[in-house]
Amino acid sequence: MINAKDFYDKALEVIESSVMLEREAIVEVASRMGECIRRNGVIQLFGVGHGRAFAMELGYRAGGLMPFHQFLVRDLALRNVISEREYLSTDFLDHVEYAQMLYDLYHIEKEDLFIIISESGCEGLVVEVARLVKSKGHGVVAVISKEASQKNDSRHVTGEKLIDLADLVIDTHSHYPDTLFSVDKYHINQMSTILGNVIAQMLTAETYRYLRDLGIECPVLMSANVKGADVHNRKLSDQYLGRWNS
Amino acid sequence: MVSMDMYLEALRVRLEQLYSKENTKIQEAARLCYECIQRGGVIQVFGSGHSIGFGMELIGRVGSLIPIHMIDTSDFVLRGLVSYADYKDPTHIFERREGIAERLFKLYTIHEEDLFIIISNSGINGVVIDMAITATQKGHTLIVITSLEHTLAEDSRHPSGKKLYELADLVIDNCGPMGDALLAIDENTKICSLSSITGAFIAQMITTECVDRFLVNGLEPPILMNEDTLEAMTHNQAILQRYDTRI
Repeated sequence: MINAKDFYDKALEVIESSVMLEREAIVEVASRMGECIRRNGVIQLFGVGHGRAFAMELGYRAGGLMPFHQFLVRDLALRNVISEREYLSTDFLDHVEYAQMLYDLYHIEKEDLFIIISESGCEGLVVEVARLVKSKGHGVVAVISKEASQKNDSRHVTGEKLIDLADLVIDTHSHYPDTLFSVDKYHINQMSTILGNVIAQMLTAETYRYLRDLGIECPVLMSANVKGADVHNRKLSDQYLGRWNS
Repeated sequence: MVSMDMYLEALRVRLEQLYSKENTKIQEAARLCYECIQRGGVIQVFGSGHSIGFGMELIGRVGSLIPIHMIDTSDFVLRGLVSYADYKDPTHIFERREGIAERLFKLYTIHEEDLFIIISNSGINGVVIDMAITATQKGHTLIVITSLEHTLAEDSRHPSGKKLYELADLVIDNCGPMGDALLAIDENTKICSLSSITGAFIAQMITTECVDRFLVNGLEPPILMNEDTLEAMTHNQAILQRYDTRI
């Protein structure tokens, strides 16, 4: 009926058609990321749901850039700000009060840039985080599916969505719901992680290029198997001590 | 020089390799997963660090297989068994401590018919090898996803001297290069990692093939449906209840 080759062929086609539409947006966001790094800022990543994969794709890894930090809702539970029951509750993303708690949990500096990743960007907590960090003067980049954003209503009391608040928007072009195939009455396979991760890596390449074109050394983490990597990586992470790992 | 176009070109090459080299093994993995689910088992997925992304890719969305459980060492903290400070202790790395694998087995409801998928790029150290040893000793089938290029180039750092892939019933190569990044910026440094993208491809292709096996056998695939009809809600509820605390 359907096999791995169907997924493979279709996924390649979707990658080509989707990310090509975002080339200009990616270059623009990369220049903002480069500027943030140039001014000694850290790029704060907040991904909800499967948007967390995008944040993980950029955060502390070999071949990645150093100055990233993740906002993780799970940290609120792990650090006893909220209970396990509150964390596992199904309406977690409607709790706007968690925005300030998260912001207070970490070490944020005024030059930090925020990238917020959500399928629809309509969740109360996502909108509240965007409002909060904007009010503190941070730049906000949204990585969303515009289709999902259009097909959902805002769940924030103001009626705003992430797309309304962001300075720059990258559209993953994921469908809503995020499924690739219909077989019988079933919908299977999702593309949003793959599209998000490809975009994340394109941003890495273009941010590197932006800084290099300005003659600025880009803080790249080396793979642990390369001689001297530990010293190199330690030196880089020490420049952001207490910020990347707050 | 480095640009998004160079990255995309390098990505295309790796994805082609993944398909041509690993497709048969991906189908074999799907068959093992199908058979596990058919005998009432759950697929236990474990990766540490960035490898937790593989399990995340498999679960929790419309179209995801339901009988999958993600093993996550931070669950010890979430359930109040280990303090956050202890879990994050930089001088005594949690995932390198002895006995973590046995404690994880006790933390969850793991049945003998369950299958394990363990993911690690280097596959040479830490709790992933402990888990693989424990799982195979208990008789579970083990699928490993690793970078063969990376794991073959390094010595094991595990007390057993084993590498992850050596313990597996089936090995899928994520086709990542040594160090995982694709584009050289100088002689020592590369940028733009690959493994989470090839990992997501492998996860999705296993799902496609596994669902197909249910359909060609005239069976209802245990996947999450979009709850836009009563039938879909009933389908989801029935399957979620069947696995209950196991997932």
